[in-house]
Amino acid sequence: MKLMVYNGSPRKESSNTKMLLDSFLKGFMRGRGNSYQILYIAGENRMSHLAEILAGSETALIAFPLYIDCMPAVTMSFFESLEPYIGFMKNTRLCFLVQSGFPEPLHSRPVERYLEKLTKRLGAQYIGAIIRGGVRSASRGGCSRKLSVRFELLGESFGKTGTFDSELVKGLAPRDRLSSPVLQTVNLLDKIGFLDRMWEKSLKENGGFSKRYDRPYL
Amino acid sequence: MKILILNGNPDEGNVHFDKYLEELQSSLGETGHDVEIFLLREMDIQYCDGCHGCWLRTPGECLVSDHTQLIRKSFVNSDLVISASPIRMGFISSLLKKGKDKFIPLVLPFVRVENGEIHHKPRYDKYPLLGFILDKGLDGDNEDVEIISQIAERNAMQLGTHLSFVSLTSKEEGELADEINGL
Ligand SMILES: Cc1cc2nc3c(=O)[nH]c(=O)nc-3n(C[C@H](O)[C@H](O)[C@H](O)COP(=O)(O)O)c2cc1C
Repeated sequence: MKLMVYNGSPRKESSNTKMLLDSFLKGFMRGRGNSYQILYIAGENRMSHLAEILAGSETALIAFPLYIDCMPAVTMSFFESLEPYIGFMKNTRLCFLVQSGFPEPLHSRPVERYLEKLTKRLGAQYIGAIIRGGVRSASRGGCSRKLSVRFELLGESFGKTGTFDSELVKGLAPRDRLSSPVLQTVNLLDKIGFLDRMWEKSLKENGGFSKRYDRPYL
Repeated sequence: MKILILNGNPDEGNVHFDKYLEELQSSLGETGHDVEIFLLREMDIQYCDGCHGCWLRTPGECLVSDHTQLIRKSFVNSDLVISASPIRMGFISSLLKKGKDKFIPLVLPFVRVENGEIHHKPRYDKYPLLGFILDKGLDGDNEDVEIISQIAERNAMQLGTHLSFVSLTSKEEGELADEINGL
């Protein structure tokens, strides 16, 4: 199978999206005869060209980070460029990867619904969406071994069957909400200031610590 | 009320949409509101590039000084902010979304539990009520409106405020103005 991969993160090569895709594609390439090509949406000034490639693809994976509860603007601009193909993508199979900073998959569910609808609008076939929350920055050591193995396995089975293994997808987003014991712990960690500490460290490294509560617009 | 309308219509040929908002502006003006419209397609709005500088280096402000500074300033000083867009490919325009991606300086990087979910802590004491005006156009349908509303509700929750309405341009602007007067 030839897979066309779209990375919709504004951070392109240094994105968490790429980090997860790398693992997925490593597994995918274990399938005989498989190949892929990666396209970066951000920075592309000929969106219509990317759209044309999608329309001519048999199978494509579109991946992006959650931005304000949905796709980044640049990814939306790519979706807008698909307008000429409404109803004409019958020969294309689409799947998606949405990854987010917040841990709960529930933040990504509305955009997941959007993606299924988009696929329908294009007349394409919907393979599914991988949702993963709590993704830590690639620059901070990011992908744990366990997470990258999961993405590899998912990529491997996708490379063989052309579908997402629903158990593996579910395993990446086991429950939509945090359980109440976890929420209580998070609350407690917040009270003792522990939760803020991670960001405080980054604030110090970047020179913003003393201004962290600034309100420039008042 | 101080009301800000973000006009995310990307297409200057779509004059109906702009006109609808202008008429709403004057109706609301007549009942004493102070209404400002930002025509996003004529503003300099750069894509958020995800650098997190607005949290870590110049907290509360984007490192890129484009016109979204004006938008954010007006946003936090308004009572109601109405986002307006024709529906394209089932969603708000990427133009409007480009403005919205630049809202993260308005919250703190720190997180907390809110409604049983993880959300950012607020940077400001108070945020405006939010509303939406959508135009279904040729291709939009009720399901699109529903999805956009769901996402808009999540956006509002994120800012610790409320989504007070999602309205369609098929509604008379006078009727919408009355509803806004009743808020
Ligand atoms: C402008 C902006 C908005 C974001 N909005 C959300 C959000 O609504 N929910 C969430 O869980 N994470 C949000 N994030 C966090 C990113 O989804 C997360 O850091 C992701 O892993 C970044 O992926 P990337 O490196 O591939 O761009 C946002 C980040 C940025 C820069």
